[in-house]
Amino acid sequence: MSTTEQKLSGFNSLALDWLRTPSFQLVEMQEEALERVLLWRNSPEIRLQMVDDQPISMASHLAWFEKQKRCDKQIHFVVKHQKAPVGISNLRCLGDGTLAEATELEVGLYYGDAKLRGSLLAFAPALMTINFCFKGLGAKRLFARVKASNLSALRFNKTLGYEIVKNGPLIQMDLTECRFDEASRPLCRLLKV
Amino acid sequence: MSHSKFELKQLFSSTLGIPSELVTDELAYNADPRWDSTAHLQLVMAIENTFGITLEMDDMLDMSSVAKAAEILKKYGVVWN
Repeated sequence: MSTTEQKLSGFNSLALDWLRTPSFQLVEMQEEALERVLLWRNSPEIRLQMVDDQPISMASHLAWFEKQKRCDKQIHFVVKHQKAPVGISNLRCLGDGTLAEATELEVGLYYGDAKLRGSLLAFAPALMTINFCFKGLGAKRLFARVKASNLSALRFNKTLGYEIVKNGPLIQMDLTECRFDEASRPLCRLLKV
Repeated sequence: MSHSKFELKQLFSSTLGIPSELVTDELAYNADPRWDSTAHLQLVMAIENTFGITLEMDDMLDMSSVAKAAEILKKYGVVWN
């Protein structure tokens, strides 16, 4: 088992159940995904929405991957739809402690697959990620950072129950489980998540 | 249940925030930045509420233009006058 796989080994199977639906799976990022992820990450439409919008070299990408593999404060998932990789979801714990102990997490999500990005289905992995944080990890509060120009992501997050806590070029949003449960009810009904 | 296409287009206009004169049969999902995943979700919920129906997932995803939506709604017993 690789170091990356070990990140989830401490969680019980009930927590991990949030990472799977019949159509979608969130699997820990492994080496074989790196080339595809770099292509997504360097595409103009993804870079445009990133805090660091400069192209990334494969060498930097590999170095980043090795570093994050050893870090117990974050995890990157490859989002798979019908077994095909379509995007990335990631969690980073804020404050002290490891991912497993975190009460506050920063959540990120992007789709390399343009068809999924604009689809209603785009909500499903977001629901899975957030449910994993609240119901699987026991997090109390989630955070997201979104560029003010990314109106689509801001609306997407608000639909999930996020609220803006700090305005600026980079908008900070937060989410509690109570707000998420309320906001996501119609989504869960439609998407059967 | 009989409805007018005008009613459907008004629903698209108000849900997507697109002026009604720009809502044509050809208006397509993702062709206008205002019709994104969130807007699509709101549109599906508005259609379900307005027409009193529950859409199947495949139909929700297939609702890729105004014309397609009108065609799909026929399957649910909506008659266009």
